[in-house]
Amino acid sequence: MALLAGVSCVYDFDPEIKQLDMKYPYVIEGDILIGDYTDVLLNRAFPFQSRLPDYDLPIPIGKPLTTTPRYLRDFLAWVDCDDGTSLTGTYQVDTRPFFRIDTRNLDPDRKYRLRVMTNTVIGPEGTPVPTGPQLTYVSEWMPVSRTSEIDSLSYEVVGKEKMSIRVSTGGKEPLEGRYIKWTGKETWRYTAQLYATHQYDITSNAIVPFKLGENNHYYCWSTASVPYAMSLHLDEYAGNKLVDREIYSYGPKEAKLSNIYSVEILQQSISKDAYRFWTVMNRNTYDVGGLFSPQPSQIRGNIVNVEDSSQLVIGYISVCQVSRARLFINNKTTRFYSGVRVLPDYVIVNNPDRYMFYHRHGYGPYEIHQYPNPSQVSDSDWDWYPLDCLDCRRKGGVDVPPDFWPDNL
Amino acid sequence: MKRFILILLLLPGLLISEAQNRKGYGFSNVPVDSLARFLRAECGVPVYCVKDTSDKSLFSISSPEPLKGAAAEAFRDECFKSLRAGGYTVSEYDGKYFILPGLGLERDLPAGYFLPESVADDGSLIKYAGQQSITTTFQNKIYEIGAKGTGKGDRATVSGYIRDAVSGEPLAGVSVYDDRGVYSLSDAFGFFKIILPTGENHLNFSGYSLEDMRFTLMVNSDGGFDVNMKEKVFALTGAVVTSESQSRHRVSQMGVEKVRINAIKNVPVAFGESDVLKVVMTLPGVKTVGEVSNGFNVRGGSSDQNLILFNGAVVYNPSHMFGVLSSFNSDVISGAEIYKSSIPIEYGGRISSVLEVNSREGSSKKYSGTLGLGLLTSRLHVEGPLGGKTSFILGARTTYSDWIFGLLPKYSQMSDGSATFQDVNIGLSHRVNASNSLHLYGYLSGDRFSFSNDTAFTYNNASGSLKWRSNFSDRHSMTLSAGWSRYGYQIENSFNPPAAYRMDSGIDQWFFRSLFSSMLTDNNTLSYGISSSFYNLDRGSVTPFGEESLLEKVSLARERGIESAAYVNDTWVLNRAVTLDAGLRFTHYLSLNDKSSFPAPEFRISGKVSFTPNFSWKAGFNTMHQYIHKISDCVNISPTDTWKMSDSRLAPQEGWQAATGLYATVFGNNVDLSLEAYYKHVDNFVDYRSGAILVMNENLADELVPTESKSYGVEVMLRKTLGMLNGWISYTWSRSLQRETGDRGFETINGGRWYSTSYDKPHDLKVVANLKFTHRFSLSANFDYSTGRPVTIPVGHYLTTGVGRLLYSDRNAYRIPDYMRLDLAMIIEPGHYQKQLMHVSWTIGVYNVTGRRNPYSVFFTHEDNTIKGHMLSVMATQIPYINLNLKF
Repeated sequence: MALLAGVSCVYDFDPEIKQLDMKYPYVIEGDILIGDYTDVLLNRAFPFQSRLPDYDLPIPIGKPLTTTPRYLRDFLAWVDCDDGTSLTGTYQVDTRPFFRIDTRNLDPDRKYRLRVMTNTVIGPEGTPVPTGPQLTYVSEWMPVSRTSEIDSLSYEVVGKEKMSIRVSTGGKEPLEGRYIKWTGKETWRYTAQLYATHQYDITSNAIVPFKLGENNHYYCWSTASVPYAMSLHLDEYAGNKLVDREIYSYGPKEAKLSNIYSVEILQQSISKDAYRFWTVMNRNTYDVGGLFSPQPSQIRGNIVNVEDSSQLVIGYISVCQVSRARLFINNKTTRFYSGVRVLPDYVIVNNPDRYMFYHRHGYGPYEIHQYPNPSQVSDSDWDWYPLDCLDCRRKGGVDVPPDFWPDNL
Repeated sequence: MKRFILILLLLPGLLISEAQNRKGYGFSNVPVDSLARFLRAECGVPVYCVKDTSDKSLFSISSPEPLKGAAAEAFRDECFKSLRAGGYTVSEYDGKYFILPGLGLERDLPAGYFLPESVADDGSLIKYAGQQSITTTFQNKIYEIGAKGTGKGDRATVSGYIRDAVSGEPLAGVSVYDDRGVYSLSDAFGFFKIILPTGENHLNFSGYSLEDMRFTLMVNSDGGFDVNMKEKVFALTGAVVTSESQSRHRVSQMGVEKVRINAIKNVPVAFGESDVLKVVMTLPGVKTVGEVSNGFNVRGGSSDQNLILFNGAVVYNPSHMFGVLSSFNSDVISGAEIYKSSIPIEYGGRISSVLEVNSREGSSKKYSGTLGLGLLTSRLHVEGPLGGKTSFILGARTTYSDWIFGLLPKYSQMSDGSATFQDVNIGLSHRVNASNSLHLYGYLSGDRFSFSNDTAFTYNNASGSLKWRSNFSDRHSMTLSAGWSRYGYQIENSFNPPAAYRMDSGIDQWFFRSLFSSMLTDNNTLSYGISSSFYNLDRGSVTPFGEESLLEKVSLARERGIESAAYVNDTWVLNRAVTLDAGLRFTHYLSLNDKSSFPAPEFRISGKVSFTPNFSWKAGFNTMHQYIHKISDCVNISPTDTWKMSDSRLAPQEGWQAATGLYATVFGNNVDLSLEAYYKHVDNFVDYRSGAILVMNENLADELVPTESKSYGVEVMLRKTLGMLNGWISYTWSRSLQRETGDRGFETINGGRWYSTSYDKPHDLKVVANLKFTHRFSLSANFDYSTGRPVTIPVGHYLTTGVGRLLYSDRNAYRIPDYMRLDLAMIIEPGHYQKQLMHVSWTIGVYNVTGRRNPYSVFFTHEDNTIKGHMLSVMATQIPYINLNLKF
């Protein structure tokens, strides 16, 4: 095998993929969270050759405008109850657009399903208005899966190789259900490479200091989903509880851990079929390419098109309660992050007439250039760096902390 | 020669016309052999002759009186007188007359003529001949079979063992035939049996890389005749797959290929390790999903549809180091035989093929051994006699590749990996007497490998078997075998200590098999027997691994079952041209878990018609059933495979195959051509539903869907067995398709349409060539081309849970790129100095000479909102190797 390792390689592979002779399928997300909000997201699969849209509104600083949204906005969603009632909600935009239905007060002893109508918006009179062919999708009727509380959410540095995020549950009360799914939304604070004290003022064509209280875009926050929808089968575990069960981990070069990292984990009790769906979904995504990797296969979930059940639609809608927990990890404490950021070359700009030129080319002033001979140092000679080093927003984040972010961090 | 043939053809008419000549009784202008026939037919003189083929003498003798009584004796004497005048000798022995060119008949054999263990020391040739086998290495003698006067008819059975003259090792696959076309083939024990007319016979022995031998036998009655054959010293043969031309045209079996050990050692393979499976994979109709793959696919069948037998015991995983090497140590095996179509009646339980690999018998004459040093492995084998009647053979291999891992760069992600294996073979053979022999075999192997330091894969094969071979009369023989085999596999995963686990699974199989063979008539041989296997299947258990693991032990219920069969087969040689084989095998499987029972008849029918001795047509039809299934969503045999027995929720696979073929031997018997076509259909073929979870699943049947499969193809093979340049070219065009038979609505695989199996590779071309330009130096080449195998790949992508995911195509709707590879090797044989203590041979070669990046698999990841395609190439560059073999 050693020789095998030495002679085996992975190369780029660019196959010719035929376009599907049908519309690319819808993807529906939105577990019905009894006792919480139900957020429904809708998007469509894209052809092999296409690039998925990089972002949604609002467009991050420095990013070009886009005409193709990541998530669709022209749809309506309802949570139907088996007593004949339905709840709908409103369209909202957070870091991504979603349709929020208030399911906090639903009866956990009833069955529910999700219903989605595409190509529909609410008109000025509050009535649905079609924007295209309206298609209705429904999930199967399901009872509410009871979810146990998360006892603790913690991290552990394993050697110098792994930061393990772990969860404990079932310690206070017997675990509900036999299958658990964890999803998470992670938020991390990061910094620009350089702490800028001055900025270029275009109106005066001068380099001016930041005013007191003015944001110099050094600290930013980014948000993403935890890239693993982890699920497990509890029957495999002893004692009907989980203690410090790892749900995902990062290596020491993970940039999200460079400053302060936070994650909110959602724990849901799910059905066996849902467990299968997420297990295979992860397997299709991450366990590919090895000598003994299973062959991938397309899965559908529990949603069908009411008009044509043979139509492919992707998604699994669980009906469950949810338990949440949040964790903060400060790199000053762990000293785990070992990534290195290399500063790009700077330019010395000593002629104010050139300020505008460099500004337009994405540069900004950082500090007065320090010549070896102090007598040569001049207030007009500034080191200009690419703005990506000075403005953290250009890495996709925002320079305003989220609401949950503690003031002392 | 033409004249001789013409006379032979006209002889009956000639004799009649001459005998009834009103002017006298006799003949005119006939050669010596016709004279002898006349004497036998008209005068009742027991006379036999060996004709000097260069002799053109013709004889004319007549008598005025009818040839009876004294007139006949006078006529006989006149004939003998004329013969002596013509340079022939006429010897009388035991009331029979022998006409020989030149010197007369020797009545006493030279000193040391018989092998010591075979010689009866009473000095009586007649008594000896009537009691036991003659062992011979000389051809220019007349051998008497059976005691005179004990024959019960005009036919007698001659049987015996064919052995290597030097080592005493039995020689399998040697063709035995007389001049009239009566034919037999030695079996794995070197045993042959042939029915000959009493009287003078010429018996030919022809085997791969052996000196052809021809004997004159005086057959009186049933008797034994052992033959020691020598290897052709100057045979310019090398990489040759032999099912000798003789046997190919004389038996009705089709789809059978034999791989000799010489061929195995001369075909270039990765890392230079001789490998029987790699050679089997160069045969037409045998394919593999990739160059590092544990299994193989025969005529569109899945890898679990092959019954792999090692000394009669089933091997479930025939590979080491995930497919780099096979489990069979080439130093201790005699060769392999693969049955793709005409499955022997004693075998069943798998749909597609039987691969039979047998150990050699150890030398009964001297101690010897080999030591091999290669890049990956070292191996040692010793063999020799244990007393007068017993011999042993012992072989062992191990690998020492671990140290190389440390040299790998960290970024390879395999520097923490390891791979080890060991295997041990032992064989004991004991000749109880001339008719009975016992053979005991043992095999043990273990593999352990890991790609990282937190996950390790382990599997092991073990087997033991005992064979009793008995020829309890000249027309009846028996082979009984019994034994046990085990395949166990484990995965240890400590990636996440609280969830660290060890998963164990395994199969134990106990078997008994009998095969009786009775020659009912000269042209009719009946084979029959019973067999039974007991399966004990450990479907899996997970136990906590390490102190931190919080897992609970989980064990799936074991599955047990008994597969039994009773079978009978008749081989009927209608005449020299036509042979028929018809067999009935009644199989039964009983699941001991839910008591479900599956009785089923199976049919094995084949026939051949020889239009000429070198051109024949064959056809066959087989039905098969399979009760054990490998459930896997991996294209390879892997440690994560799950095996499952049939029960009330998983029906047995039922298959049939029809095949036909044309076979020709051309260019002076130097080139064999074959063309075979087949169609195979399997019901209850198992596939898994999309999104199936197969590992440690108590309700595995819920994950499976019944499908039917069909495969069809044409196989062409051109084989040159002799000469400086020899080898073979095989080309296969075939398809292997399946479709789900049920209707599960939108979840039905590919909408219920036919789709390619994972091993459907329509075009497959293989060339194996060996150029032996001196007796010590030869150059071997191996070329392999095949269509890329089908895969399921993304046709789109989407977001869910904030992660880019892949939208997959219909199952197996695309293919990986085609596969092509050229290997070259130089083989340096030792000198032919007999008294040298140690013979050294070298193999120097390059695997994948062109360095082509052949794909093993393709996979896709989602990076930066795009789909990124990757191709895993396992042997992505030239691999030079050198192997040293010491024979002592």
